[in-house]
Amino acid sequence: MGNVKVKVRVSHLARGTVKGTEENTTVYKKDQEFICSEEEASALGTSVVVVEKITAPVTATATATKK
Amino acid sequence: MTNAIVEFSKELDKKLVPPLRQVLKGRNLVHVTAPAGFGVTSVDWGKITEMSAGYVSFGFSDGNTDRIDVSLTHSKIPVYWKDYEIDRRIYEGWRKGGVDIDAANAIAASYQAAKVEDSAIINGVSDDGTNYDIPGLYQGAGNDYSTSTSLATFGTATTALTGALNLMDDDGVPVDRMPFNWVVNSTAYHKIRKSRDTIGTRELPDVLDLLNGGQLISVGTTLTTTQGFVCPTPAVGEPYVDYYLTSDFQTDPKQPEFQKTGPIGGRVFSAGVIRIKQDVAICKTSALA
Repeated sequence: MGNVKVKVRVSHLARGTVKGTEENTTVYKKDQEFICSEEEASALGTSVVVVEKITAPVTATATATKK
Repeated sequence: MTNAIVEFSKELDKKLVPPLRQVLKGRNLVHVTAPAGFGVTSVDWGKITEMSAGYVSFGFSDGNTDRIDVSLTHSKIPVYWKDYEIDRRIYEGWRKGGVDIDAANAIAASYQAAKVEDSAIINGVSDDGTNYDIPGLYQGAGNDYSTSTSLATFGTATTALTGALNLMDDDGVPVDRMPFNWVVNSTAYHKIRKSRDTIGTRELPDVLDLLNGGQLISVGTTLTTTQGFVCPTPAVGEPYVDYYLTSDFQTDPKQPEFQKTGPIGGRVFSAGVIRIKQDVAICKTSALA
């Protein structure tokens, strides 16, 4: 699953990833945007709305052609 | 015979009420209005979107009308129902000699209808499980504490709860003087109840203390294991959220297909809609583990 840009729909959204601690927790206010995984966006449900799907840049690969 | 079936249905209603009071969870979380009547199919109500700032001065002056910004919300009122059948011999026994009615089928049907109503109040009304026509307490919450919380670890439940209360406090909800309920899935409920530190001190008294007289409530599997929410108790929560009841649980009898031997059918139903007037007074705890 890729990443998405989401917009906060609730008044305050406290988002953190470190279990059992408020360290690294960021509080977002309504209409603020952040990027997260599609999985997290799904778990946040109605608290956020997906505004954009982030597509990974295409990386060029060198190919050698034998003549 | 028609009158007898109606009487039979009334007897069933009497039998339904006490067990339903035990199982209805959603209605215990919010203020419930008096039944407005089954004929009421929709309701217009005021949703408070923004409060204008108050004024301070040494006297009153004209022109500074302070008001509350209210957006009118229109909700259709859903019905929650389940059909049942009762063996004809039970009915005949009641009619002939006043034999006590075995209402097991009707009670079982009413439990199913009650589950649907609980889900509508707690989660919301949805066709696809993603988009909610009528958001319930969880889906309609105006704040979300989504920091990953492993409830098996001592101290994390109080961290999550204070975090949630803090978010509501920032929105002007008087969390220091109002009792709140913390509503969680059954797994989370039992994890919090058994949480102890290394010397055996329980975390539950701390949690209850933070709830200011409210309770930790399990709603079984109506919420998933990661989901929970904090909301004011029904005693103080009416300005923030209520359940507009139009019809309390009752039975509606059906005429049997066969006049002498056909089973007596019926339908258990209720109707009402959750009205979240100030969503910031409800905070999800959406990353429990």
